[in-house]
Amino acid sequence: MATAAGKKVWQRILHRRGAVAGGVFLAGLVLVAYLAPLLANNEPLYIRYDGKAHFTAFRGLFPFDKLLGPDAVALKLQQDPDWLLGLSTLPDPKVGRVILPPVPYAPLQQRLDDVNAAPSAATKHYFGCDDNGRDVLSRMVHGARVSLLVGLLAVGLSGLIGVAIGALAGFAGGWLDTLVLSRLIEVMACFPTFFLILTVVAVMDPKYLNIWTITVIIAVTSWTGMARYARAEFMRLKGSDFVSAARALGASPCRLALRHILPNALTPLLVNASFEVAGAVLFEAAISFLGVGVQPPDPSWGNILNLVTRYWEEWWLGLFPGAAIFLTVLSYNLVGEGVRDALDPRHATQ
Amino acid sequence: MWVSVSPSQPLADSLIISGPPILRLSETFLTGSPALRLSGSLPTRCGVLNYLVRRLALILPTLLLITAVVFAVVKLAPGNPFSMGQASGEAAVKQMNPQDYEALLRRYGLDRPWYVQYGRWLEGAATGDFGDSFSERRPVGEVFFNAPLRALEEKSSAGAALDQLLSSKFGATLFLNLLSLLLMAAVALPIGVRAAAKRGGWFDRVSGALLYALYSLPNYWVAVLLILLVGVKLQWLPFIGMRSDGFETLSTAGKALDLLKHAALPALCLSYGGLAFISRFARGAVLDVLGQDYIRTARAKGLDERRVLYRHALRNALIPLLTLFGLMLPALISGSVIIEQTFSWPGLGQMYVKAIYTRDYPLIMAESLLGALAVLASNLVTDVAYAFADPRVRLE
Repeated sequence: MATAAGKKVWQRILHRRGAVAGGVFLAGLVLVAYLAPLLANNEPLYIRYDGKAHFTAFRGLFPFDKLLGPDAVALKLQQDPDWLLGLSTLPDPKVGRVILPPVPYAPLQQRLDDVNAAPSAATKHYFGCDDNGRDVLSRMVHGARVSLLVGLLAVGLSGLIGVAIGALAGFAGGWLDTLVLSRLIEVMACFPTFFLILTVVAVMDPKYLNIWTITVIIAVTSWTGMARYARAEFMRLKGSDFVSAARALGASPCRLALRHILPNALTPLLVNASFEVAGAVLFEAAISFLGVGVQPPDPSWGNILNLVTRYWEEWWLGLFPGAAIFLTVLSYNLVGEGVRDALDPRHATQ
Repeated sequence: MWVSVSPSQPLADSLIISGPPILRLSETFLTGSPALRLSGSLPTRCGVLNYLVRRLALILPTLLLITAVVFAVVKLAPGNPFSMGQASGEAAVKQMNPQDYEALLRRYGLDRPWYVQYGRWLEGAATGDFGDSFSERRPVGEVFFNAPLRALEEKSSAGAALDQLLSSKFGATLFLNLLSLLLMAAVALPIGVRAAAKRGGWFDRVSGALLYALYSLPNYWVAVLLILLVGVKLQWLPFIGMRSDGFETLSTAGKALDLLKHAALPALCLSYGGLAFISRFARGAVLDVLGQDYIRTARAKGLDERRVLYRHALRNALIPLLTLFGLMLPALISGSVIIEQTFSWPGLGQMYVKAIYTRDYPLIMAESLLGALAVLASNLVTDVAYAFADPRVRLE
């Protein structure tokens, strides 16, 4: 958006403190999710081992293992995950200087001594541990990947389905719209989505129950909102002058739809997408909370939160992951609202 | 409040415009269901009646499709009630010999293809027979309406009937949801009216921001926090189940108090999300009405502001608000699943989760049907409200 109008929109977005705060939080979350191996890991960021320097944790960011072969430090940690943490009591002559990540525990690393340990800065379990002695903060940092991925992918996929169907309905019109596609949208919209997803997820073989299948299930049951917005936009725009002009120039229907109408219909769709991402994040967390979503030991905010219903004395299992879900959802909502208001001043002045 | 809407703009927007922030029921309550989205095309070309007939005609095929899909999903999944013994720890079932297993499948008609089973289910459902629950070994209707304290059936006073209703799964869920709706209305309406009265004032802004934050709070997290704080730390309220031990020995008032105590936390969790929505909606509705002549007349008569707001403004704004409560139905029903599970509330939601784990097909089907009916009903309410409220429709 390099135009003057685009600049104005940006200014209006930046004037909304809520939207900016939400955007900053989400950007931070993306960073945390991407850098998870450097932030919460039992592998060291830097270690002088056997006279050589190793940057073991960085291997989590790129497929270094394939290029360089396995790392000696990583191999040793696979056999003994607590090796570096126990150095003070069991010194290792080969180990020189060590820099561990801020949270020196891997998300799946179970430590018997730390079962249900309370939050403490001294043990570096800042958010405490769960019933298997896994560090909650480490699991939350890695769980951020699940939340972001499921949210964005599910909405991306449902957006593709919804826009394809909605655009076809709005653009083609006629019997295809009124008899087939609109009725399809209508019927799908009446599906008790929550029950359907719960049923599908619950009856599935747990070995197929990972973030990819959950993403697909959320997407195929929640595209109707997008389809409606797309249909309305395509119906509105197909009669506009610039489309008539393009048609007069001999543009094919396909080109009209994809190159002329779609770019102009994109903004309301994107705003809607932002709210839908919030919904998808909530949803994934909810089904994981019920115990039918992402299965442990894989970390997800929802399945950490689930543990508190078994151990009510361990309040940290309830407080922290829930706060992460809340802040993420709030951020998506604030960003969506800010963008919408910036694009459509009528909302803002109300 | 039905501000000018371009013909192509979906209803979702026109309903929500009444005031920022944008609030979407479906996300608050995690239904994913289109609680506030208009289904189908906008009725700009045809009259209200015509439109409604068309909407009603679609209900049956929609229900058929929904139940067929749910049925297929449940049937195509691996496992059946008799092979799930391992999960429920019934070793005896696991070691069942193949002949007995086959016989059991035949006995319940599970050896037939899914569409045959669906046909049978449909046949029964049409006559109100939803089959026997596998795990409870009695008809689904009985599980819904009649559960544990069956002894009460013999007594025939109103109190006993109420007791019996409350002891059923359906009654437990109904009680919880009605309480939540009541709570919602009692808190949200005054907030909305007050915010509208001093539009743009500090109360309007603060309540708007606070309610918005509330609305983004996942209700399962609120449930967890409330239990941690009020239930575990302060030990003020119970948070497991619906009744205390020794409930039977309590007096009527004692029973009512006990039920209310148990319901307090779950009802709070179910209601606060709608709070934001309803108060904003009430604010918009009252704002709309405040500009009317009769309000000016009422003020000119010298009535005090409180009376003007509540007796004249709110009362006229209530009609669209009533439809709003109808819209809450699917949201409440699916919200109940999570909340009931968290609080071990013995209602339909908790039963649904259990039914899924035990592959109790008849229960799953009946409950999905109930969910679908709720969504359909709420969509219809939206449509009717919209058709009547849109002047373009009325004029034609």
